Amino acid sequence: MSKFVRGMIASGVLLFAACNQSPSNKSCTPRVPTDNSVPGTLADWCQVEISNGDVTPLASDVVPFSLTTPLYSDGAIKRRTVRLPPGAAATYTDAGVLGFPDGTVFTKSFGFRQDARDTTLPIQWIETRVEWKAAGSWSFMSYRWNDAGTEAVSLPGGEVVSFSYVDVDGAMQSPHYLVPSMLQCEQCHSEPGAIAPIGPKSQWLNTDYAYPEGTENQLAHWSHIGILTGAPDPANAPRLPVAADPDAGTVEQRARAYLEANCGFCHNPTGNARVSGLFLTATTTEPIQFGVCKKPVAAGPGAGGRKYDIVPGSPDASVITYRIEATSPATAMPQIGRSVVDTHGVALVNEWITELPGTCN
Amino acid sequence: MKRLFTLLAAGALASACGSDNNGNVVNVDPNMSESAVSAAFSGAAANSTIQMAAGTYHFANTLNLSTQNGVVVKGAGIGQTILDWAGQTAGADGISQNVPPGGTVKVQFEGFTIQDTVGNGIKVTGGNGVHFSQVEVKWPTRQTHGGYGIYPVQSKNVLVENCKISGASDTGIYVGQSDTIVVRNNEIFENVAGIEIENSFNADVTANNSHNNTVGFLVFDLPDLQQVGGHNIRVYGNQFVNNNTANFGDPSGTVAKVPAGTGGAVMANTKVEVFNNTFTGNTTAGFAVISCFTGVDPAQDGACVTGNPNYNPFPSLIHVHGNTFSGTGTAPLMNNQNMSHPSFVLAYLLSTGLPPASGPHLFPDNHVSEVLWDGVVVLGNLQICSNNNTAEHFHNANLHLLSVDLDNPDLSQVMTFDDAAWDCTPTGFPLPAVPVPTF
Repeated sequence: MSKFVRGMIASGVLLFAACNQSPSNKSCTPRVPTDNSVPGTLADWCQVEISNGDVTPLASDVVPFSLTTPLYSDGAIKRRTVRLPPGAAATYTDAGVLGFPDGTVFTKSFGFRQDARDTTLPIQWIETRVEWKAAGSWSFMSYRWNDAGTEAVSLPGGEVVSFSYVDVDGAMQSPHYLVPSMLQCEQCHSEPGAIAPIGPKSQWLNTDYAYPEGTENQLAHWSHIGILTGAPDPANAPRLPVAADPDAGTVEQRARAYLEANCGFCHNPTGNARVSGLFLTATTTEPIQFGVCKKPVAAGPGAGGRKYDIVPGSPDASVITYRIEATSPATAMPQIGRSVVDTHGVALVNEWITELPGTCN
Repeated sequence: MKRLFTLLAAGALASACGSDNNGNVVNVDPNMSESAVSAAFSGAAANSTIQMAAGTYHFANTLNLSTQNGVVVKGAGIGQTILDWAGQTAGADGISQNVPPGGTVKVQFEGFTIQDTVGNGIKVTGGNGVHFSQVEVKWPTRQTHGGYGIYPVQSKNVLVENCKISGASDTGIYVGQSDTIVVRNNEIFENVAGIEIENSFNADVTANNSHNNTVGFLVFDLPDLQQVGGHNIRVYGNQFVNNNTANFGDPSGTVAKVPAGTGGAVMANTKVEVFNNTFTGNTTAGFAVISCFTGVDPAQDGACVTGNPNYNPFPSLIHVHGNTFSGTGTAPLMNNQNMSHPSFVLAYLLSTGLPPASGPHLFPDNHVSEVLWDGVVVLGNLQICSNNNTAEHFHNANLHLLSVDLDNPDLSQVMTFDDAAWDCTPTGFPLPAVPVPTF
């Protein structure tokens, strides 16, 4: 029996005890550290807690949100929130991260169900990552939940958490899930040349969200509650499609969106994978730069004996396919944060490579 | 234990952030949890030292190192402080430091052993002042060995000295896309390539013992990288001995094309001086000068023509002098059992006529020349010079004259032997010494 299943059973009593607690009514004053100290527990941030088995905002100005195409993260269930200082707003931009003011705090919580197909099952929350801005710079910390979901404690050195669960397709998955160290947060959050959030850009936010008061486009909602200024009508704002939704765009559009979300944060001209010369942002236009007939450089065994990053028409001859199908940390891409195969993502990328025209010789 | 960890983590955090902790020492020992050691690496303050006590540490995840300036990671010595990744499940490297472009971050690694990483031993991206001293990297129990042992890339002022690297499936000491580099007094063995200086400017490689690799050293320049145009590289006073290990690199990698038994090679660089080295018992070739077309692109599929004016696929201004050669080229290819391996193509092109082709020996003294050039050239005099070496012959494979038929090349029609033709000194030589980075 897997550690996860055993853990679920062992903690079941506590878990359900936690689920029956009502939301915290304690007064809690959010305070974003400006002196480089880091709160020791998630509760100190006064932003979210686990209530009735799910991540719950602790105040009305904590705004939940989602992204059109997220990072795969071993198939984790994710919950995101943002809170801006009272009266403050982010400034809109078409390209890149929205202009968030000092004092902005994001949370992103990661959990799994024992069987992802059964949404009535409780979610075992593993960690909540906090990202905050002070004096113009972003910082990170992950908070590791106890099994009962009652307390999350800072874990600056990270941890590998190994367990098993059944995925949405009914397949058993056994990830070595990575709670990142502080520096591993920065390893991905390194674009463009500075530490910054990845998700909160128009291209990922420009979609509907089911708020308690009704469904609304997120950019429109943020504008109307006053935390975003300068945004155009969502119809005129950039949007990358939901990669997983066949109706959301062409195969190429969805595959490029998937590659940007899962690879582009490192594979861009200033990111950590810049040394490879392979750039997987959706705006990269030179085919050789996004891998077509590009020879791998320092990939070593990561190339799997294949000659080019992408061979048009031949996913099985393409290094990219090899690396997104790999699970050894020596060869898997992205390099951290994925230890099991995203079969839907692989299928999409392969469909795109298959329809690419041309040849490398 | 939990309480202990919290305190340690808090200590590491405080040091990460408080300038009052500059210059402090953070002690770690093998009894600490991996997460606590990782927190110390992650949170290291400017100018602090992470002092790693003797013993064996076991890690599942890459240790990502703080990008604060001047961090020192120090162990009790090679074989004393042992960092072991045999159980690695996350991250590809052992230790990794990622500095964004334009950084001015110094870092030092000294006195420990890294073993059995799934990927590279230590990778530093974007450093300025990067010092490796008395660091060992090896793969004693893994079947599949990682790519690079010591791997600074896009860095400036790199000094690698007194290190010991063995078993890398690509290169033991690999310096890529960097500037101002000194690699000295290292022992590098049983890797595919011992030392490689790639897409780099201003390097001195000296007093190293690179033996029993597939190839002793490489000075290469590859297309389609952010820094191209490698130049000003001196390789002098080294031992390149018995580099005859069968090439076990991934077939798609560049080093996979290098034949076993090669002392050293330069590809597509300008201003390279190779002198006063001892090449002993490298049974395919002593030192080879090749173009991108030969080293990267025997399939002629255009990878070497990039449109980037800074990328020159041809080697130029190369001076090979004062070296001592013995036992060169006596049994080319004999350690490439697999004739479908990419390294076979290059070996065959450079040393045709010898086994296993079993044709007539073309070479004086019945062995491949000590120094050889692929002869691929478009226009002009590239100033490839070789003189004052012991026991030297020089041959020009003149591949540009060959109608390339990889299945059946007949180099006997084009290959030339004229030692006097290469007795020259390139314009502007000798090259200046590289200032040794100080720490």
